[in-house]
Amino acid sequence: MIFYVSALLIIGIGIYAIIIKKNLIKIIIGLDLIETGINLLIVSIGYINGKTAPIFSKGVMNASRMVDSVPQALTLTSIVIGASELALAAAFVVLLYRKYGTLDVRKIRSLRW
Amino acid sequence: MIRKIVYGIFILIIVAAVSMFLMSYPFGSDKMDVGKYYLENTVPQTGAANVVTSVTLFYRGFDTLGEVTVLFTAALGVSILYFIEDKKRKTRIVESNFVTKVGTRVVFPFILLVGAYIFMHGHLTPGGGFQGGALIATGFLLLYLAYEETSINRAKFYLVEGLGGLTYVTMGLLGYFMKDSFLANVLPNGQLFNLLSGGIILPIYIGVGLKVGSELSNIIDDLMCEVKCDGGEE
Amino acid sequence: MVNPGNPTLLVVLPLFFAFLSIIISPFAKKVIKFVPLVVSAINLIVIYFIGLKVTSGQIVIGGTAGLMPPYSINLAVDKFNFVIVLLVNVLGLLISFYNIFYVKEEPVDKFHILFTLLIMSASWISVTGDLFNVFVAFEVLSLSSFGLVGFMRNSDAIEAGFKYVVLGILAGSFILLGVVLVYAMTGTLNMAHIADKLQTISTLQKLIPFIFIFFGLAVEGALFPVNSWLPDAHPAAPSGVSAMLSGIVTTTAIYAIIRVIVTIFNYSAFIPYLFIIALLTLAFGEIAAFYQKDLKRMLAYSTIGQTGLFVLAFSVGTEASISASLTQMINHSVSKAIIFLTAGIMIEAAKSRNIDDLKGFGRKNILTSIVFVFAALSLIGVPPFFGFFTKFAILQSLLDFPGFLGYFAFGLVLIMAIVEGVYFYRVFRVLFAPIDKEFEKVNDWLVVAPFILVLILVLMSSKPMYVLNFTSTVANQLVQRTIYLTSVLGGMK
Repeated sequence: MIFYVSALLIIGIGIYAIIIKKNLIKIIIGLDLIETGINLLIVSIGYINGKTAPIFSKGVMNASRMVDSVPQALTLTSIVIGASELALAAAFVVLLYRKYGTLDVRKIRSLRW
Repeated sequence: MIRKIVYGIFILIIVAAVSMFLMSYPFGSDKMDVGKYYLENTVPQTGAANVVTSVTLFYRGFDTLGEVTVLFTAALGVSILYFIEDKKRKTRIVESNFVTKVGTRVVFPFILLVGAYIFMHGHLTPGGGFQGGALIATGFLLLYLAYEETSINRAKFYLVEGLGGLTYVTMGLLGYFMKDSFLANVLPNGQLFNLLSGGIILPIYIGVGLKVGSELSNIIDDLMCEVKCDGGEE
Repeated sequence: MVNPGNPTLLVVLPLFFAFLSIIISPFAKKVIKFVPLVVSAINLIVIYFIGLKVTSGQIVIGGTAGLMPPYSINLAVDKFNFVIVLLVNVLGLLISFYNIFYVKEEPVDKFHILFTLLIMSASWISVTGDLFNVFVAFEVLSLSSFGLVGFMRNSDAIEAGFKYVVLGILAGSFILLGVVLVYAMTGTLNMAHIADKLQTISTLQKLIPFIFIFFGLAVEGALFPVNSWLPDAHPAAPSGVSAMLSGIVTTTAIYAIIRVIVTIFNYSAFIPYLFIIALLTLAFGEIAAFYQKDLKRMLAYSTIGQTGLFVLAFSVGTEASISASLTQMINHSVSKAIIFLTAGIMIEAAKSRNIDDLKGFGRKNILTSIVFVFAALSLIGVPPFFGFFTKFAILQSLLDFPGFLGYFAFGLVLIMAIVEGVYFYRVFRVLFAPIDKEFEKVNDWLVVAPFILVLILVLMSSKPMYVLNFTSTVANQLVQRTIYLTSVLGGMK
């Protein structure tokens, strides 16, 4: 239960950072927080009480004692996609800083929402 | 101030909606449907011990192809955005200190080794191509931080990147030509817990690991030019 | 024997060429210019084979991993997908031909590889049958368009690109959240299997994942209120890319929304709200376009308005209205692509995006201006162009909407058509004004692609009933979702 609550909390803080904060780097960190919160939510949705990791080994050979494996695969994909999106966003921020010399959203001409 | 309150209420609505939804699907309850089929049939159909790897690369291999493409697209986008006509070396470079330099020389080969170990054992232990590739890129980042004069040969890294991607697509097309279904399992399954087991998973993960490593190293090279190239500061 | 009509080839072969191009890019930069052209041509061959089966009523299914859906990812092409993927690749072919001569800034080779990926991901969203695949293909689409929007690297492109990036990443995250909540509800990710299971779940519980997926896709699909990135990003991109974004990417996102509403969720309770969103989008787009002085910005707002129009038609809910909406989608994609391509030629010649600076262009370059005028008239809906028949069908179907809102929408669409006519007429007047001004010489090959597209438009205008009949069979098949479910899941049951 604590996992659902903390995942939603992280998502909430991330959305808050994107909407309210004025520094470009903080906006990107907000995007990262949203991605992280969603990943945590995915993995915690896959958990089943009393079962263990879905890897066959000498100690665990019975498939019925394992947790759902699909959300873990989805999280893997989502983390990689999130990382590449952030790389691209960071590239844009660097270019913006080169052109305007400031990281303040309000000073850059057409970025006022 | 009013803006903050309005936006705060908006966020609360979103969070409340999701949590209300999640109340009907409590934490720890069994929600599996296709998951059960995957858990039971991984060993007969692929011979891999790591169920998550076989789901990622075999049952949902098409998604992983998309993920590889996403990384590829992001690396292309970053290299477009950072493109500078003439890259000149800056005259004054900040030297890193002695411990970093010597330490890197010792650690770098081991980083590459651990990265390779992780992606080669993807079907036996937790890990796989993406994690191993990220480790390899970290090794190159360390090299950049310690020795400012480093510059990787972009053409060779593009070659590795392309070959890794081509491996993935070719293995899939092999399945298509032999069994009329993309990514069908055409290699022998081998014995459980052996390194050479898992059907098509092992060659694909080696390809993916090398691809991700070289791709992330290319991105790091682009980012480092911000610091080191003369054309970088306008 | 290898089956050439498998939809997986639409995704895999372009990727093969993209990876090959990055290997040879340090050596043979000149060859890479032709890669998107070759890729779209191969795709069209595959689409031809798929089309042979689809037009006879079958649903073409391509599985992966040698297993039956829902235990593997499958791609499913029915008539609706077929129209969209055909549109994507025909426009992709002609726009890539245009781009060979248009793109001159370095790094040219990376531009063409990204453009190939754009075509591939638009085709991928159109043919997939799995919900998580929609998310992954959407991310490839977003990321390639981020790179292409920022290609010119001037201050316009970077600012527009950053705004687009933040909203685009947020949209992708919302789609992922919705898909994950759907997985928590049903335990599976296959579209047909989810549709099967969702029939027993209450409407209120289905609402929350649906809203997340809807708003995520609506960001890319230019719907109000999340389309604030569009008027900045579409003009800032090079003109071939703007044509692709306005004509194809928006339409593909709306296709995905339609697939989610009709086939997966079967959510007829949401349709009235969609009607209101579409009305607001239409009004906002056309009125804002009226006040623009920058040619490409005006066209971007016009895209928003037109998208509102065909979503409005779709949300009436009858079979005739869905068919009218689909024909309008085709008309808008083709016409808007032609307009953006010719606008690119004009801007290249006049070295400015301001409408007033184009004075007298029409008198020197007759062919380009005639192409522009034809496409604009089709967009507005002037007879005898194709647009007239599509708008007529939409107006007819709007009268079927119950209550006062139907008549209000009818009137609004007519008024907005007049507004469109006015702002395009302003451009016509400027083009053919009697001023003797020197324009830069542009490459003559640039006009070939819009010209071929206008020939297609004229062809469709001469046989409008043929197209309308085909789209009504498409709408028929779409509404009978049980055909889709049993075809895909037939292997399992």
